[in-house]
Amino acid sequence: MKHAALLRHVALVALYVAAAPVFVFLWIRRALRAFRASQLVRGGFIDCPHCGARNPLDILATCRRCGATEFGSRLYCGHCGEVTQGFACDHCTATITVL
Amino acid sequence: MATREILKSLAASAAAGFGRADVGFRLGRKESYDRALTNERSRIFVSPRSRADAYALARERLDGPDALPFGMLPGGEVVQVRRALAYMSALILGATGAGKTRFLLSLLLNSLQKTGGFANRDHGVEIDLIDPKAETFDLLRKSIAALWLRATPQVRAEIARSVRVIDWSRDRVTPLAPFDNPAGSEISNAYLAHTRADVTVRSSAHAYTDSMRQLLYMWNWLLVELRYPLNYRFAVRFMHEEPFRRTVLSRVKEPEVRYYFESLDLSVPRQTRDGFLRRLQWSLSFPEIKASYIPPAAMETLSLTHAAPITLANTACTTTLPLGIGYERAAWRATDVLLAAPRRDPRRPKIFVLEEAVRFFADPNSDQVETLLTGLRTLRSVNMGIVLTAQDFSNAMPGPVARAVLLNTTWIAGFRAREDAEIFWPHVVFDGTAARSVGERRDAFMREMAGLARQRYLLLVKGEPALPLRAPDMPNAAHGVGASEEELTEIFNREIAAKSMIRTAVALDLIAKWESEVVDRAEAPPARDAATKPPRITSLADLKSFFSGKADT
Repeated sequence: MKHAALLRHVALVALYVAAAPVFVFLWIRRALRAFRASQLVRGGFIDCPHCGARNPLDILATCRRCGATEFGSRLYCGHCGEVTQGFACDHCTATITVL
Repeated sequence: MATREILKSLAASAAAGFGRADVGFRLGRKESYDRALTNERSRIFVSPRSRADAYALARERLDGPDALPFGMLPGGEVVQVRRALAYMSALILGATGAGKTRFLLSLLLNSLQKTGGFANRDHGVEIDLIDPKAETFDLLRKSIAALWLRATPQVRAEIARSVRVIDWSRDRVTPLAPFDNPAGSEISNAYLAHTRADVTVRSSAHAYTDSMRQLLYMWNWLLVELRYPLNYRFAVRFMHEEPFRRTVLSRVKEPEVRYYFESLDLSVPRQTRDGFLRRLQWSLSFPEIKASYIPPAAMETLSLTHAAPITLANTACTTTLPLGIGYERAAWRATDVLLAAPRRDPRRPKIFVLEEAVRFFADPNSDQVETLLTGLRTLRSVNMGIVLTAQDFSNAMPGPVARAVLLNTTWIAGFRAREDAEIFWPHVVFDGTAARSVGERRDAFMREMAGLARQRYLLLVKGEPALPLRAPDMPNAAHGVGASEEELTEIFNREIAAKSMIRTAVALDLIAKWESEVVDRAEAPPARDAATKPPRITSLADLKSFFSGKADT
């Protein structure tokens, strides 16, 4: 019985070790994307790819999940922690994907 | 501070790698809050304290990546508009000689320079110009010739490859195939024939009856089906000789076209056919026009530039091109550009310039107006903007069309004008200190707009106040290249335009060859001679001779 439990743990560790490169690859990919997105977010403005209007990222925004209205990034709600990947252009209402 | 920011970014990215995108926002929450406060304060509901502040704020908002210079404010500050916004659909208004053309030219040449000019094939801007008054065409070709003179041999070759010219002169013409629907095209043959016929009818000085309009449409469709050029001799033989017509129709796959022309004698009155042939003869009697309709099959054998990033079309009413035909050519070209637009590569921006736009929008019922208005509204999705120039826009344009154009253009440049000044009035910023009434301000503004000096204009970008600017200076193209303007034109014609044009004599030879093969010889047996004609009975005496077997057969 003890033997079987040990074997199960060893197999689990071996599986994690085997899958580690995939996890590392996914982590690097997500981190790189996040780094690029953070550059955009730090710039403070995003041009709409459709109409060219300059959209500020930091405004008095209302969270679409919890409804809280606060000064800050329109992509993040400081109240409920909701992260939004994009928003509608202020000028033409086309969706701009940021994250 | 910078190190702190970088560390924050790295920490946020590392957390995002584990699926915690919120960490970055948490770390930058304070900065985000401060920026949000600033942004909200600068919005329009918080009025700037003075006109200078309003201009400065607008200037800041318009600037951005790859900005193009649009001019200078009265205080000397340069206003630049970011590329994404500058290439949106736009309207340039103003009276003759107010500086529209020079401003447009500066926009086009600056676009070429900002995108690496002709040396950068992958990232350059595409330009399509249709000029029914030849002025912009002429200035642009001289400027391109000046660029060619300054360029290295490699860039010169690139310039020659990148520019297509559509023009007609006594010596050279650009061959056209308006009735050729290439394989793989998404436009049906019937729709192509319809668009061509619609333009011809609306641009013509002649009146078209319903039956003649139908005949024109079906004739265009026949040419598209057969891949034949517009040709008077072919039309005459086809209309008058039934055996020839039957032989030609046996090659047409489309049953609609076959049925219509098989019953031509019944469905189309003789007078209509004669009238149609008269119009055809008139339009093809100009040698330069006739020479431009070479057979599509022959066109493929000529190594001419058919598609290029920069296409300049001169459709002006000149010594070689009558007004109606020039407009017809311009409208055909505009239709082709707009129909091809949805399938273009959106990575390269494109500016489609339509000079004297009022002429194109004059008839609100025409198909091309609807196509143009749709284009103004939707082509931004393929990174293409339409720039219209117009004189007396408010009076000459039909009301609903004018409103649609104003709604669908992103920026408007207004040079010296009277009625068009109304467009800008609601967006003009006045100093709060001035003690005049609104009426007095308005009168003064209208007077000022009617007497604006050359090169001065108001720039209205949607969402911003109207900015009074002085358009960028455009030095003479010949300046600094050691060549006169005539020499520049000659260089352009010889080194660049020659790649997309052929000699008129060569074109006429190709047409004569096609006529001898298709009209005279191969397609049909010769017409029945007089001996086989049925007897003509026009009197009682003829009838008597016919029954007695003595008719003159």
